[in-house]
Amino acid sequence: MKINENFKLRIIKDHYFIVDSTQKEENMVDVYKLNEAAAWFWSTLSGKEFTATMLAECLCDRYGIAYERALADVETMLEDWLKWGLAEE
Amino acid sequence: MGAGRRMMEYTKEYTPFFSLLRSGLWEKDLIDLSPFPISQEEWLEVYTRSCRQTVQGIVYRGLSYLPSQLLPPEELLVRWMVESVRLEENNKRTNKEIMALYTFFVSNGVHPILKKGQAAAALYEVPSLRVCGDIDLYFRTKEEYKCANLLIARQGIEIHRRADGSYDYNWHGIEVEHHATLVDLRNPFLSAYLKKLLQGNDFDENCFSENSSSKIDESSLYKIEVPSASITLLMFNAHIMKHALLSGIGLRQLCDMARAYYRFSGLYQGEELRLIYQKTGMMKWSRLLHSFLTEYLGLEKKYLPYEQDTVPAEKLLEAILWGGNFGQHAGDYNRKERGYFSKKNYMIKSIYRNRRISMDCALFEAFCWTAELICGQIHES
Repeated sequence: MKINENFKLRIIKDHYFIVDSTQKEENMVDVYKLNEAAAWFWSTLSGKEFTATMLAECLCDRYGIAYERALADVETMLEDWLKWGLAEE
Repeated sequence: MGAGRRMMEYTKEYTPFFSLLRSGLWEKDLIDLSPFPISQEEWLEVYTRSCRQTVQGIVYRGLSYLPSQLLPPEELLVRWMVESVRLEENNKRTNKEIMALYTFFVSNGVHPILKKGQAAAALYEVPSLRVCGDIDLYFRTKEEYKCANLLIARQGIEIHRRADGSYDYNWHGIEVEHHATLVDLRNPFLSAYLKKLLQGNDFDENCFSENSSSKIDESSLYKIEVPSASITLLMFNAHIMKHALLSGIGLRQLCDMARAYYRFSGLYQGEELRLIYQKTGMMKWSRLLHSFLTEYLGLEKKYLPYEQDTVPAEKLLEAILWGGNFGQHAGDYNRKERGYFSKKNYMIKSIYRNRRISMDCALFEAFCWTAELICGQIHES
């Protein structure tokens, strides 16, 4: 899986958003709010192939949480990303 | 309301805007946080003013230096983020078209010089957040200039002569201008001096190599040529002066000038530039400009080309706030109305409005420009 490079990450302090760069109309642009962990994934995954298990392991290392919980969170997140076109198989 | 009182109101009202602009321009923390927090309405004003002056990308950078609790409401923050992505995409597209245009000309034996625009963007820490305008190309000889205009016309593109003698056309959705002069000075007694000055100055090929994000296209066979540091400074300065005397000037051009002084520091001789300003009758004007750059845009005095006492810069501030981007936000400016009389009417009003700057700083230059534009508009009609 890889992220859709047409979406650009924007970070200002603790505000994390990704913005669709392909839409021309200012009022019709898709914008998604991310949490800090999702924004971290987004910035480190740019241009790379990844799997849910890889991300779960990263999450465990970074936040020290149990692998099962990390994997469940990552799978939910990636399901949303795929549904919304933020990531591609 | 009197001019003094009006300026005091302006200054107070614009404090948050200028604080953020300075912070974004120099990528530094805000010196004073006391103008914040501001209300939702005031935030909207800051955003609107930024767009009006085409500095929304620079002010956006400034937001990063505000503490989280002082940031604008999330709805506006998102709007700003969307705008920043749009600016990046526009810059990408413009850079691609510059390369395509340049390749087209070079393959036909014509070598344009890139004036202002994307060359100015390269002076910023984050070039992709500078609002990009037209593509301005300068041609060194009359033959190249005529040939370039002909090459475009032969592509089936409509090319128009403008009042100042330059030509413009639309290249894949982007406005392009062809210029036969590099420096916007119209005093006829200066033409021999300027010609000599330009002949003695080399054009630079590596302006885009200092910052990887500003490179136009690494894989291209051609490098984009830009003027040398001292000529770029003269060119920026004269361009701002022209618009301040005539149609009105926006903050983006002033930001370009401040960044140019900062980035070119040590790459040219300050005394040499002082002599150029002196010979071209720009000393008084430059004093006003330098005062504005230090007082309102936070340029450190050590980056100015030479030492000089400052003067109150309110009249320049007033002209900028009135006109916005090249006068396009002045109340009586109508972009769609391009008729002979409406353009002439707007220009006369604008020159009258900016008379304080003309009379104090560059009366003869204002006279020469006015004469040329009137003749140009008669020719156009």
